[in-house]
Amino acid sequence: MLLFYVRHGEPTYHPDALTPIGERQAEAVGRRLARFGLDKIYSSPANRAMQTARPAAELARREIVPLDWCEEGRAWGEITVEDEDGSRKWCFQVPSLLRAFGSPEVLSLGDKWYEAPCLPPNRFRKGVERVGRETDAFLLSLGYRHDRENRCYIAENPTEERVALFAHQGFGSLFFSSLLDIPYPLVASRFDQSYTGVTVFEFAEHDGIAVPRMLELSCDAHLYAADLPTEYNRDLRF
Amino acid sequence: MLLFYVRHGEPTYHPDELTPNGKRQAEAIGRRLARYGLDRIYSSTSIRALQTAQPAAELTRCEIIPLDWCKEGHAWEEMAVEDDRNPGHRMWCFSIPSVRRKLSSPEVISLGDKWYEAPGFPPNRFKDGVERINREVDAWLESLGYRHDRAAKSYVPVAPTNERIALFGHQGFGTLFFSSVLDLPYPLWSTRFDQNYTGFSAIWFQESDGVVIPKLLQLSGDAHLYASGLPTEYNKNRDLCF
Repeated sequence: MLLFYVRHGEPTYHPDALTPIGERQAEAVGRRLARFGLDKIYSSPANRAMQTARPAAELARREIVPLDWCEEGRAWGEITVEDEDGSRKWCFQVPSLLRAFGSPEVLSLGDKWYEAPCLPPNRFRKGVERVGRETDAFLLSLGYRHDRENRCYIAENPTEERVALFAHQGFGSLFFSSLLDIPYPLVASRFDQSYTGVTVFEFAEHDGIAVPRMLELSCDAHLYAADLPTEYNRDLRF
Repeated sequence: MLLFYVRHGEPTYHPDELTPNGKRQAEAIGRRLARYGLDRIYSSTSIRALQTAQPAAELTRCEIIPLDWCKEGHAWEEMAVEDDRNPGHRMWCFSIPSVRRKLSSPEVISLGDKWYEAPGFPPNRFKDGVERINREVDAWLESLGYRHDRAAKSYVPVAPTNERIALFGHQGFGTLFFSSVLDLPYPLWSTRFDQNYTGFSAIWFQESDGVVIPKLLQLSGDAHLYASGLPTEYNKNRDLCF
């Protein structure tokens, strides 16, 4: 199985929609994915994710299956913290938290990293457990049973299918960590995704076991080929 | 600083050079990098890496600075082990299914930085490889303005820049390099991430509050192949075309 994770296109968050550039990004990524074939398309029910998935769904002639647990609002309630200025921010956007995420104090706790006393009041545990549970159920429905102790998957019903999931940045940090069995503090502080970045996971089976590999992170081939700006989240252009 | 890492193009390993397709890939990545702008170009001293760097160097008018420690042969001596499916032959540790599973196992992961001390690996020089690359990576990044604080898994920006640096290297060496730069345990990195021929990766050294935690913004991107109409298959595997 190949799993394509696509972050939504450039949005206006209020209202929840794509900008004109975001719509062009969605069209470009839809063409790229449809060119290589898609068997199933899932999406967060948020409008910006559904709008991003639509061109791929039309071109590949697939229905979009909405997944409520991938919605960004839920992750927002779990992995944001109050910053010094009183506003809420994603944990991975707060410099002091990013430093804590690399500290021995947090990492030595392993799966229970969120219990480290140096972290501010938070609901990290709820987010990690919820997305872990939902991700495992989702991958089981696709044929792969997660063996968390051994950081691998039992290929119960392995397939050659190509599956796309359209979702978000914050939710994505929880999803990647859960899927790859990499501690959340490391994923949140060291990886990121741009608008319509395509991330590819390969589930290759050997002797009934699959250790998924990330073959591409936040690839922007569709933007580059369509002469759209190849900026990193409006911060950095390359 | 933005650090671009590029694996060499499609090679013939014997002799060490690029295939006709590999040369097309090198031309495509060179144009892409020149579009982004480069201040400095480093490369492994292998011919397949130097040939891959050549178009980027010509288009940006930068000299290629060769780095011997990035050569794949050194990493091969350290990270390849005997393949239990094919006795007498060696293979990268991360490419052998039984060793991949072992690398992911609780007894290896629980040892943290000393993962290579876990019993049950085939005879190996993992420790030499990890220590050598950590030492070389830290010296190199310090020469670029960033001092690695391994205990804190971050960098001190001693002379931060807005430069764009490209390094042309390899797959096996790359597993050691990324794990070392990003402070991610080697057993997790090597089993869970990979790179395609001329795959383009971007690591951003952004400073905040006097500390830098480098972020991987892209791994093995193939925009240059897709845009040039070149095959986007993954390492010559026709079933893995995307």
